[in-house]
Amino acid sequence: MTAVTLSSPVHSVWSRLAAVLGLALLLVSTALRADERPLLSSPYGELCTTCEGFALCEPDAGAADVQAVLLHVQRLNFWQQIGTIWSWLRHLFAPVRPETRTVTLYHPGAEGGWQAVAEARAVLDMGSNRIEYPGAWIDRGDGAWHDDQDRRMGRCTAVNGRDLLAGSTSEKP
Amino acid sequence: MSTLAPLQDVDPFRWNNFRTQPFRSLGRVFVLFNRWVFGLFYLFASINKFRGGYLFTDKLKVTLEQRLPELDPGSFAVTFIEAFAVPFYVPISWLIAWGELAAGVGLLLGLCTRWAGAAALFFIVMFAIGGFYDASLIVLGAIALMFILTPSGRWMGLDRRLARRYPGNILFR
Repeated sequence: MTAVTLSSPVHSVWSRLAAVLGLALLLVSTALRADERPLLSSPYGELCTTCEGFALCEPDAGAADVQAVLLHVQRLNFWQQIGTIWSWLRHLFAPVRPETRTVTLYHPGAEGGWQAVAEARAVLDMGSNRIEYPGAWIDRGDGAWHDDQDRRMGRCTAVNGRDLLAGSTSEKP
Repeated sequence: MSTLAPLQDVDPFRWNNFRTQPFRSLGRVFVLFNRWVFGLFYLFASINKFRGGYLFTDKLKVTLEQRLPELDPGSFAVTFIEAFAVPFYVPISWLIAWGELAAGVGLLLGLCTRWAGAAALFFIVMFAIGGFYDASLIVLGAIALMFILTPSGRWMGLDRRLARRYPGNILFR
């Protein structure tokens, strides 16, 4: 048994090195996959029912007439949370359907900070990998921000919106 | 079979009772349907845990740690996760995986049904305390409570036979 163990290729220096490299590659690939999670989602799918998310959408360099937007995806309300029981049951027999959530849109305020400008309904869709709200949509894969004519306006990234909103004039439009 | 003690207090569920006792029968169908749905839910949940390697990895710990930033730092859930759930994630993982399996099988087969319902309710309360509360858990908790309060395993399930074989045994009441 000992002879077998000592001659086992697993115990050679190169095999150990290969094992360490393999493990490192696995960890790196896992980290990369984690970064590939769709914008404003959780490890299990859409944002959890009691979670809220923020995306900061900034215009591309050439898009001078486009204003930055801070998108605040609200948590589901009481009855919507209860409705997720039905959604879960439905998912057993049919593909996942898009989720509709209330969003608050903020523009940069005149005196710094962010000014709430509108409250709207946004569609969060894992199927098409999009977040759509009136007038625009976001590619949840690369964060590309488009208007409703599919013209690219800029790019969106997930941010800690609570920090950005601290000191802003109002959270409600 | 003739040696078995008679069950006089609980009559079994029969479809033809709908003619004479429609509302009572409808109530029983409601409880039984929910019991089977719940049983399937817990069975699939436990299978996912076993397949996902909950027993031999730190998956639960990672899940809880990912949840922490989404919670109010001053909430009881954060204290619960940091002081109890994360340090003891190994026994808790085992308890969840095997407990969900027991609850699922019990509810599906009507075996130790009230205890299976109690286990189901226990897990719902633990999910809520552990930072995964949403309003749907109120409804799910109420449904689980139904399995504790009604002798549904003796309407339809193995409890009926076992209660006859072991009269007075609290497992099959």
